[in-house]
Parts: sequence; structure tokens; C-alpha cells
Amino acid sequence: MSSLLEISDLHAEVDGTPILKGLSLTLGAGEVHAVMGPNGSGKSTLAQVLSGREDYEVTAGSIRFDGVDLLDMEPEERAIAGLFLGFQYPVEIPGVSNLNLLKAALNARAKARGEEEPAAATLLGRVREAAASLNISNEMLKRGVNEGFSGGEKKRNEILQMLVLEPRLAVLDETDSGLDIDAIRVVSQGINSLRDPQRSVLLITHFQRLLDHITPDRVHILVDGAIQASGGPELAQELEAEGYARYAPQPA
Amino acid sequence: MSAALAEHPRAAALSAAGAEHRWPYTPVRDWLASPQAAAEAEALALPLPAHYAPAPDAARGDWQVDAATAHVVRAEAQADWQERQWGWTVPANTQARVVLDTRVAAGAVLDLSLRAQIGAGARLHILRLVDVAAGGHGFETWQFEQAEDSRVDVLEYQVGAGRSHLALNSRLQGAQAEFHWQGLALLGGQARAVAQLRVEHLAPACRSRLELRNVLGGRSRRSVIGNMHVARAGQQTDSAQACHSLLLTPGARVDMRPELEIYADDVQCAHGATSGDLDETALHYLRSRGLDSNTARRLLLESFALPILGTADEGLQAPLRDDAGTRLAQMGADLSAASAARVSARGRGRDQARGRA
Repeated sequence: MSSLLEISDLHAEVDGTPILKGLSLTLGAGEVHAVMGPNGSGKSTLAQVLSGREDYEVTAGSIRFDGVDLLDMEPEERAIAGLFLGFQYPVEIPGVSNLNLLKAALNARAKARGEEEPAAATLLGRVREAAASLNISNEMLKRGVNEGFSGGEKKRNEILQMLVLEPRLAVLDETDSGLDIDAIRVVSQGINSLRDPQRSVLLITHFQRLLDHITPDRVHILVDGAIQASGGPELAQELEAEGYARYAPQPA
Repeated sequence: MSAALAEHPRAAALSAAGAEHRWPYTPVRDWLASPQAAAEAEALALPLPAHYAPAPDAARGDWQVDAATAHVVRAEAQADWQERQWGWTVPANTQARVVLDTRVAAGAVLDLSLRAQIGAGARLHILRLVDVAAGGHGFETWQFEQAEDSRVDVLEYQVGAGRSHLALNSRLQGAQAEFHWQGLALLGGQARAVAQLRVEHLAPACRSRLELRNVLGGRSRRSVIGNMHVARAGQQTDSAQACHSLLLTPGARVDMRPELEIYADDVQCAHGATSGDLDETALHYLRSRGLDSNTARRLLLESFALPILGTADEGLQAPLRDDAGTRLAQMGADLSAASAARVSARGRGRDQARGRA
């Protein structure tokens, strides 16, 4: 299986503070990997660096996405190439409706690929179908992006955007946090429905409970800015029982 | 012409008022001395719907406004000095809609004084369009007297890179009178736009609302004073003012000063102000969905600014939104260009750090 995402020896800092300290990770096409780690280990920094957030400075290492240097690409170029980030804290944008955002996003993709913009009816049908599977009402679609949405509704809306945009790699940053059991089930069904041999998912999570619904191919333990251990799904079970203590960096 | 302007009683009065209030903006005499911006902003081009009848073309006059009326004032030529002194009456229990469309070209001056009597139960809706070009000056004084149950709505749309000063005083004399002001200012260049808005709550249970949104680029400066006076008779006053500003450039500046003078004891007077840059997280969110930075900035600017225009007449909403959309797109594009220059400088630094330069 060819690798879709190849991160090697990635170092990144925020405001001069090193957060990622030599992170390496390879994700094949069609695979689902989970990155688990305690607070402050660099999980969200990894997600933001992948999406191209400007405040995060990569000081060393490389990221290749489908053979191309991701770090040379603007955030929108990454998105159009097929990378999607599900935000841990989705942003509220009153005045831009959810539908309009999806329309603008799809039009941007069509334009970049030299294709015709999707017809309004096609777009609407696609969005409504995905929305129905996530219990998102038409009324919510017409509201401003995430405007007045609860924490769970925002996360479902992220999954909606993912389903409509059909990325090749979805990076989901703590999509499970703040969700109740029912919402986790709905969100997991959404993620599972995207799984196919061409699409990959990187689940960034704090807890094992999301992995009860989505079985990952690999689990990586991120502590202190680097992957300390990788293994099969059983690694997540071990973590749940034992915690992250054994992966804590040893004092020098 | 500058010498004559400096001696003008209105300019002198503004300077004196500035001294008295210690306003945090450049007094008028300094405006006149400072260099004028070279750049001309795109002129405002809004077609007025046909149902607005043109108002009598008189420099001075008193008349009744009772239907849709359009006042168009143009100070077009260098050294053109337009004065207007108008008195409007809105009879009791009638409705009037007025478009007050003022354009001031470079080197020209508009000096407008407006008094309005709003009868009991009457409604007056004013769309105030202001476009003062760089090097132009607009002075306006508005004085309203409102009887009981009357309501005044002002929607202000201001653009340009010139200098303008508005002093408004609305006196709510009858019980349950209402005064609402919504303003959107898109300013650039060396624009100076001062609004001194005073609402006097002189009778019980009156309401007032001020909501201003400013998008400021270049070295523009917006100063707003929201002065709420609540007399002893103004029990159950309900007043709120808010001023939100986006400062797109390091040289842009906003001064907001709420002033509350309250002599009654059962009142609500809220005030709030925010100012800041475009939200970088929101910008990144949109870009991470595939929108290029120009489009993302334009959407964010529109989402901030356009809701203000929602109270315009239906026939005027689309042209207003179009005009604002075009200006915001330009402001966003200017910002993207500046930001791209910054990022490419930083990108070079990153390449060096990664040993690839």
C-alpha cells in the first residue's frame, strides 16, 4: 500500500516554544490511524501544522502528501489537494451561511481543477443527504456557520463538511470531545461511511472511547512532541488501562 | 480656499468644541494643515429607486416630508462650497422616508444644517449616504425634535477618504419616542470621520439605539461620541449603544467614547465597543475549506459589515450591498497583498531554518 501522508522528523514551534520535536508518522491510502496523547503533547499542533496555520512555524523536517511537499502549499491549496481538518474548536462565522460556505468551498475546488461549478440543485441534494445522516436540520444549514450551535452541533457540522467535501485525508482534531454517547455514534457513522480504499483518516484523540466505534489500523502514542510507540488497536486498550505514565519522557 | 475654510464659523466652532471636550481626534484646524491624500477612492454610485421623488432644490427652506423623498447634494468642483439649511416637518401619524445623498469632491465643502420636527406617532426613516473624497470636507448638524410615540430610524452608509464631521442632537420630548441609528463606515486613505451623536431622553419610556460598524484601512480615523442624556423625567429610559470596528491596517484608528448623563433613577443605558483585526482563526478556518485568502477575507468582512444594511429599503438593499461588497473586496485584496508580503518574508526565513535557502 502506497503512503498518502509521510511526516518525517517534524519540528514545529509556536511563539518560539518548540512543541513538535522530531515527529515521524506514515499513513497509507485507505488507512485509519489514531494519534493519542495527553494534554500538551502536541496533538493539536500536529493538526494545525498539517492544515497550514500561519502561527505554527515548522523549523525542521518534512511532510509529504501524496508525494508532494505539503509545507510548500497554502492552506487552501492543501484543502483542494484533498486534505481536510476537522477543528477541535470550530469557528462561528455569523453572516456566512453553512450552505454558502459549502458552495464556496466546492466552487473553489471546481475552479482549481478547471471544472464547471456544481449546479445548485446537485449541491443542495448532496448537502441535504449528508445533513440528514447527521441529524442536521435544514434550518441549521441556513444559519451562519456554526452560529449559535452547541458544542456537539459544531462537531457534527465539521463531519458534514467532511462528507460533502470528500477529502482524501481527513485529520480530525478531538472531534469526539464534548460529544455525548449518541452524538459519538452519529459522528462515528459519518466517519465510517467515508472509509474506502482511497481515503485515509487521522483521528487525533484524548480518549479511547471513539475507537470503540471506529477501529483504527494503527495507533500512535504522542508524548512530548514525538511518537513514543505505535501498534495495533490493542495499544489503545492498554492505554486506557495504564495511562500515559510509562511514555513520559525520562528526566535527563 | 484653506484660509477661508479656517475662518468659517462652523470650522471655528468645531475647533472650539474640540477644545472643550478634549476630543481624542485632530481638531479641525490641524485637518486643514495636514497633507491631503493623493489617492482618490472610487466614487459612490448608487441608483436611487424611481419612487423617491426629488426634493426641492433649495439651499434654504422648510417643508413637509411625508412620502419617499430624495435629497441629493453634490459639492463637485474644487473650491465649490455648498450650504444647505433645511427644516423638515413630519406630520403626526404619518410616515416619511428620505434619502439624503451627499457627495463632496476633492477641495469642495458641504455645510449642511438640518432641523426636523417629528409629530406624535410619526415615523421618519433616513438613509444617509456620505461620500467625502480625499481633500473634501463635510460638516453636518442635525437637530431633531420628537413628539410622543414617534420613531426615527437613520441608516448611515459612509465611504471615502475625506474629512467629515456630524453633530447630531435628537430630543425625545414625548413619552415612548424612539431613536435608532445604524451606521456603516468603510474608510481608507487619510479619512477623518467624526460623529458626535447626542440623544436627549426628556420624557418617560423612550428608547434609543446606536449601532456603528466601521471597517478602517489606510490611515483612516473614526471618532464616535455617543452622548446619552437622561433628564429627571426620563424614567424607564431604555438606551443602548455599540461600536464595533475592524482596523485593517496599523495606521487605522478608532476612538469611541460613550458619555452617559443620567438624572433619573429607573433607566437602562448600555454601551459596548470592540475593535480588532480580522479574526485569524476564522480566516484559517475558511482557507482550510479551500477558499483562497481573498475570498476568505471578503466573506469575513461582509459578515461583519453587511448585516447593518439590512434595514434599508428593499429597492436600495441590493445596490447598497453591491457597493459595500465591492469596497470590502478591494479592502480585503489590499490586505491579502500586504499579508502575502509578510508571509513570503517569513517563508524565506523558514527555508533558511530548514537549510534549503
